[in-house]
Amino acid sequence: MNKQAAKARIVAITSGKGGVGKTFVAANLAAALAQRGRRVLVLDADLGLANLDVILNLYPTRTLHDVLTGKCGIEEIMLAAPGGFWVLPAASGLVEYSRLTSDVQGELRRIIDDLAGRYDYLLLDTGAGISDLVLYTASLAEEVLVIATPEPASLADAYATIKVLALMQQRSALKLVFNQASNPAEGRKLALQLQQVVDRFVNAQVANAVTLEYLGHIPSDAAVRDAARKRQLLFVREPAAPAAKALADLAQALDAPAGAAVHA
Amino acid sequence: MPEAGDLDLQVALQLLRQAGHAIPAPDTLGTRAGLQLIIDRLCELSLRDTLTGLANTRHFLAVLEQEVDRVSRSGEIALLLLIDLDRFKAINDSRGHLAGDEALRAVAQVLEKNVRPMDTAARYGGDEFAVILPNCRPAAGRAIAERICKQVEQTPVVLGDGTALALTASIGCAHVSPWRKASAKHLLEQADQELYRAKAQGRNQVAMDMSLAIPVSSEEKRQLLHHFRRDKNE
Repeated sequence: MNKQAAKARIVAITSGKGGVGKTFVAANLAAALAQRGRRVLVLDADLGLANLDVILNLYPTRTLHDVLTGKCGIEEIMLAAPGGFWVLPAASGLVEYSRLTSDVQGELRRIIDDLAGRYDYLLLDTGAGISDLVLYTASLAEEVLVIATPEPASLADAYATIKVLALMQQRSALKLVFNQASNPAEGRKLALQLQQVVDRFVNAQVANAVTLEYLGHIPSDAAVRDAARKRQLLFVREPAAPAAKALADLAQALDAPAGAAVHA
Repeated sequence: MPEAGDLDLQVALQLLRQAGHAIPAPDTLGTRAGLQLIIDRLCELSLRDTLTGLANTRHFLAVLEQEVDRVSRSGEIALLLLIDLDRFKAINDSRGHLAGDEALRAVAQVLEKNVRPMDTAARYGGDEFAVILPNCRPAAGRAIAERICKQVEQTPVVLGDGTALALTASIGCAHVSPWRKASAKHLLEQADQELYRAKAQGRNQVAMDMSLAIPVSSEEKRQLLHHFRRDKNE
């Protein structure tokens, strides 16, 4: 089996707007991929205002901040998350990460290169916004998953993020998920709407036209809020909930093309 | 038509000679063509920095104003780089002003080698340089800035006494955003801020706030969100 030599698929999860469910999707998607037999690690790339640990009910004593400042290695901060995947937690309240220094750039790249050989998936959970840290994190990933909700502000921010990634990183493919959609048709309609505006205003400016790959929607589901309040992973707590099933479908949509090629 | 003898061209001719320009033949001096040539060359002279041959501050500011104005209407993105030699004062103090001049010339050469024909490389004040990159994407501009940084570092200046002088430069980049009213002054301030950041982060590097680069126009937002509006009105 030559799986060890293969390089992980590195997927950045971003949204522009905060509070649309980046971390929720990152953690539950990781669990869903793990259930499919993938080795998954989620890196909390919101270095100054992290909360992957919060939603997973983890209490890390050391974080990426300690690795980035040379106090310990990545093995020492790696935590096993409920759901069968691994987590690199980050710290909260560190204003210093609101600006990206070349030291942090180099270290982050080194960490990700180092991990890529050992996992099937590295999910990079970015912070909100389009700060240079968020954009740099995205630049380290081959694939970017944009999360939006069916609200005007979220859609506008998702569009701005897509435009920035297309123009600055010359990306031609971006993945899209609608969270808290009321029905499948709503997600599809908004995805189409986004693609049309991208075609008109972004693709007119770039050599490689941007195609949005719509992976699907996660329905509004009371089980999501219940799990969050209990600090439990939805995918573990209520795998039969509609939102959890949608996440399993998303994992399949993400995993299927590569999955077909794994077995030899 | 004035005779050559009616005009005092001596100072003008001396300036041109000093700058290494060929002087028009004596018999053409008083002709329309001869005068035009002298005027053209004087203009050219008034736009160049004496030491480095780059555009001088006056020329640079004029081009920048023009570019800001053009970008706000064309929708293209233009970039401004401010380049500052690191620890230039220390070079002047320890190696003398001639060494300082050599260093400035060396940086000017690196700039000239790395810009496109439509770009403007200028000396902007004592040890500061500027480059205007019209119709240039932020990522491409950043790559140019990083190449300049690297080449300055890799090209030591050999002084008259045979010793080599190692140089580094810090670069701040700002972009002229399309579809947005900007001013040359605002742009210079922005680039200056980034330059300050490059210095504060340890010099010999490029700083650029990439996040501001690509604005979403209200027309884009209108098209993106018109479903919501219609839903509300129904």
